[in-house]
Amino acid sequence: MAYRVLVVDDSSAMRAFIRRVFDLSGLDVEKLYEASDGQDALALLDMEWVDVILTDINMPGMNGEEFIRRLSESGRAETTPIIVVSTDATAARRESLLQLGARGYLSKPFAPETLQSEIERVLGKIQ
Amino acid sequence: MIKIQAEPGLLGQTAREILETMFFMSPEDAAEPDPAPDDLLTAELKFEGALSGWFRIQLQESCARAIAGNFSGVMDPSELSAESVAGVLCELANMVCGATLSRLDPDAIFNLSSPQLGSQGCAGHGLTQWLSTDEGLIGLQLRWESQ
Repeated sequence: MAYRVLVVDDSSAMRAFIRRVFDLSGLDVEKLYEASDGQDALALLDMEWVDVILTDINMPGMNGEEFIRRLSESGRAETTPIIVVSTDATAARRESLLQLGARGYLSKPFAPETLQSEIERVLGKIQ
Repeated sequence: MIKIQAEPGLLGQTAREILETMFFMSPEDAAEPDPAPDDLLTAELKFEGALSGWFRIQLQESCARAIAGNFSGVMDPSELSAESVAGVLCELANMVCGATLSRLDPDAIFNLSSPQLGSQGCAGHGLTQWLSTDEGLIGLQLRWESQ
């Protein structure tokens, strides 16, 4: 199965790094969309469907927390798994966003293979 | 307000781990250069929450370019634009600051501003660390307001 992925991060360097991880991972990615904040991501999701969303927290404009809240309120978080990718490794933040609707949480720094395994986990390839 | 009990080596340890894991470099601790190199690129960001302050990272240009090349998967870093190098430098600043704060207080919540190139920082208590790589020096400063 080929996956459609959305990466939400205000850092173009980080988006490019994640894209490279996908390229090297062996995961079959049909399409990788990018957005620079939550508002851009919501606009994109109005037009496209994706299998998994990776989002940063601290972004100008709509931040990751508000983005996840909107997806939860619309019910989309139940059908499309969200993985938070952030430098914030505090327990309080992790717990808060998982309760809000995120399905996974990846703290930077992470090894490329960790990102791959987390995506496979939320997509159900690894139990 | 949290009580800060930062180990002196925390900043350098966190930065080394990040550089090894995501930038594929293995820096070592170094003494603060005197005088400072004149080709330093600087990025800064502010943070607030349980603790408020700012973080600054400085890299010699050759080091910044090598790090950007590793992060971007570019074999020849000289091909990278200045904008691309700056973007990676800002992302590195974000990672080191966020990860260090998370280790200072794992139970707190911090909000980080977007990193910017240039130096706007202010004084305060904090941590300073210099690292050495084959491509040049890296300076790190984390400062927070008095408790």
